[in-house]
Amino acid sequence: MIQSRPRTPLGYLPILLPAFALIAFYIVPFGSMVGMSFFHNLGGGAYEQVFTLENYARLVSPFFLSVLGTSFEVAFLVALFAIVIGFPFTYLLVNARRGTQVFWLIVMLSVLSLSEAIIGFAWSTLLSRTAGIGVLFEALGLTEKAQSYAPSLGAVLAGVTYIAMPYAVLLLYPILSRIEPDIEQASRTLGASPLRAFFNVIVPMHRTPIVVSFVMIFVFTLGSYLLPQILGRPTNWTLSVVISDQALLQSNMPFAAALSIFLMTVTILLVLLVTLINRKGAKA
Amino acid sequence: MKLGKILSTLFFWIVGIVTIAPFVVIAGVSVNERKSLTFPPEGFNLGWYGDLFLDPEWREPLLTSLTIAICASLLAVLIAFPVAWFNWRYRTGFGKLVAGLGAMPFLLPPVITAMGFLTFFIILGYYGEFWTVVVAHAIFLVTLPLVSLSLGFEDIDTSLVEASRSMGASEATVLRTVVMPMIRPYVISGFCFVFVISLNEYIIAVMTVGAVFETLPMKIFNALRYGYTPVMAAASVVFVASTVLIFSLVAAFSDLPKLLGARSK
Amino acid sequence: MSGLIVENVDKFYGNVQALSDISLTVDNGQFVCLLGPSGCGKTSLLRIVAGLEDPSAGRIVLDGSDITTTPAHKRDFGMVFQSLALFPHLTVGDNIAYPLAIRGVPKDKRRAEVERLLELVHLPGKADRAITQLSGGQRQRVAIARALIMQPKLFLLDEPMSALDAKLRETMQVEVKRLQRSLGVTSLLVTHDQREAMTTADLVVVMSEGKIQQVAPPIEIYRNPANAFVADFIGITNLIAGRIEGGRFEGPGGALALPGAKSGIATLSIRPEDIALAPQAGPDTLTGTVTFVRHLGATTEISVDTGNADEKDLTVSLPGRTHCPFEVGDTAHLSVDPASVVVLG
Repeated sequence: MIQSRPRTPLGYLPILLPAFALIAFYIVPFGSMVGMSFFHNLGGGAYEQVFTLENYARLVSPFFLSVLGTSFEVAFLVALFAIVIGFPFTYLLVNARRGTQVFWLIVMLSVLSLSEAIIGFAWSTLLSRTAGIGVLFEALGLTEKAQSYAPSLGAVLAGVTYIAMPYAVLLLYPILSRIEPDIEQASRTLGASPLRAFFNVIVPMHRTPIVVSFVMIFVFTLGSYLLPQILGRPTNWTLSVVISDQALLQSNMPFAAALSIFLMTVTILLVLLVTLINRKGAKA
Repeated sequence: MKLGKILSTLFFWIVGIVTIAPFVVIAGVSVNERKSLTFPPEGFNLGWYGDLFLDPEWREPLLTSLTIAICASLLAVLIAFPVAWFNWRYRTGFGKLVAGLGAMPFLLPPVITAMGFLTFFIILGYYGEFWTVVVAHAIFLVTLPLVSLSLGFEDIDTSLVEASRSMGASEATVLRTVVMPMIRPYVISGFCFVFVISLNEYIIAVMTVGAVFETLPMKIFNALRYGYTPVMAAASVVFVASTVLIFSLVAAFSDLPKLLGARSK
Repeated sequence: MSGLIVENVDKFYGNVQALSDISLTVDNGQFVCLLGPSGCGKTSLLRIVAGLEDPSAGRIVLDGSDITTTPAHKRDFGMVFQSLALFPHLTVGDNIAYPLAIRGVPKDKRRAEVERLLELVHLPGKADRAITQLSGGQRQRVAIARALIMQPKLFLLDEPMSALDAKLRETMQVEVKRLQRSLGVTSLLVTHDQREAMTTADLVVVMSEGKIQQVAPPIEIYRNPANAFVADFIGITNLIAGRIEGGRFEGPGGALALPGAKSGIATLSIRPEDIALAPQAGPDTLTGTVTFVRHLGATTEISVDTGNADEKDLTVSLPGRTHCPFEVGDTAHLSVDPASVVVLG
């Protein structure tokens, strides 16, 4: 009953409308952004439709390079933290009872879906002088007087790691849930403690997914735009923040478009890298 | 062996507590008696929740967000359903291409997609019109119903379709009497995923209608920049609660672990 | 011209030929079994008859009219699928009434029909149950009831009992046959289980590698297999290659008198139960060494190495209470009733 293709051209009708929608409202907008990145900025939201590479030339300015440095630094550290926390957490999760799994999956999905505005607000409160861990530390006698921990690079890292961790969990969950229970049991019968089995068998076994997830989280983190604004100082701003800043506040559409194209290129290269790693991993 | 167990349990719960802690603090802050950002809360006052629904300054963004989310999730499901159905029913290169296209927006950092929409709608002169954010969200999030529906269709035993055909059902009757009842949970979960994320989405909304309409995430962010009010906390609590509630419903009506890629056991 | 006629049907999947030049006639009221190992094309043939797949060449004719291009939903056949294909979202009653419901038959009439069918398959009063509440055998009956409710011209069954355990399977086979006989519906059943075919069929179609090997009543298939494949596939047999000359067969282990058999190179098919023990070597005995003795209760099976080709020991089956005088390593002499021997070309 499953056919290779519809019997008549009319059978293609159902998919033509969605195809049209995706082309008209995704491919075309994309093309218009590419076009925009070559226009000349006149300031105040106006631009001139002439071909110029000046927007791309600005990418090598010291300001932009420092933004890039910050973005990559944040993305790298966050991806690292998210994997280091997320991998063992997910491993424990897939071995938990079904009810426990469902509960934490709902929590992770929720954290991942919540607006960065809300997460940012929550973390700025948590790191504030009057309502957060400052109060806790003072009560415990760890610090003499409650202090605020935001804005700072540390706060940005904490906040972004907080949203990247559920992403890591949801990336690793399908992979780790496919581990045959035999594998851990086999290493146990061979004399390894569960902790050793985890570090000597489970982790090395998943080298490829770990690296792939690391890159995916890196990409995901590059997309964070509100948390660095809420929890950090302007020196902690990442590429995404700068793009929206250029587009909305500086009204420099051509430059914002060029920055987006750059970010997209980096993303696509990283996704290609992931595909390559995956293919290699599958061969090994 | 005991130590490992204790350490791993401890680790699991610390991560769990840290994950939930921010919302406990927000919930506490939201019931402060006076307009202060303190935790543990001083006094108890639920009035800030009243303000969220009664004060037009907060009610308007809330309604705007809800309207966008409902329209966008309906549209996303309407776009995804035929694609998923078609690719289940037929094996064509074109169908795969369209599905691949549908997966793209979700893979790239959202700011890129947002920029695409911004330039597109500015050039066309539609910037700021309400429908643009609906379309933008639907396209941006179409991946989610596409994935859930594809999983759902894969799950329908093709012999059920054949049985129905052999008993005299036309293609349309099969769709109505066999496919629809079985795919419904996946339609709903696809809808829910888009709804929740659209409700919380910030950057695309800002870049399509930010100058004309204010969604609740925008309102929270703006309020955060220009001072503090416990209504922010109340709004956040309501959003967190409804997000958790909707995902719980999805979990209740479908197999959440399977939807998220776990091997069915 | 009444009945089902399959005419020169070919089926290709890409470059692979699943069916080659299949022709078959099924008379009205007949129960025909398509029997063969997996991958022999039997299911493809059934699906082509059902209209679920198109033949690459050939025609399907029913009661004199060509239905080759008629889509499945216009053929009005009843079909029981291997997975049973019961709709999980419908109750037992709604499953059975499905063909009526989609034709707009009013509810009370549907209800009455469902009860009649449930009665027929011995599941009275179960209409409101959920499918998940039924046992495997009960689901089987629901699937059968659903396939029969439209009083189809053709009743198709695709390995419907493969999911049942052995005992239940035997019961269902007998029941299906009784039901078919009482309704007189023309039936086509696909199976790889020869017991199922022997139990249910009026006519067995043995298939292998996309071709029909033999079409005959069950006992005929057993007693007079058309070729070595059929002889070997149906039941257990001993295939012995040798030479016939002047009414005598000579092969490994000795010779046998086969009066009237055509001279030349031949393979004999001898069923294990047709071999008897001979007290001593004679002109018409086969001699070999006992390699294994199996006491199976109802029968005792003795494997005898007569130097047969491919190191295939002869299997001799004795009634279980017969004394077995042998141990492994003993020499055995075997005699065969010439009437029970099938000479394959």
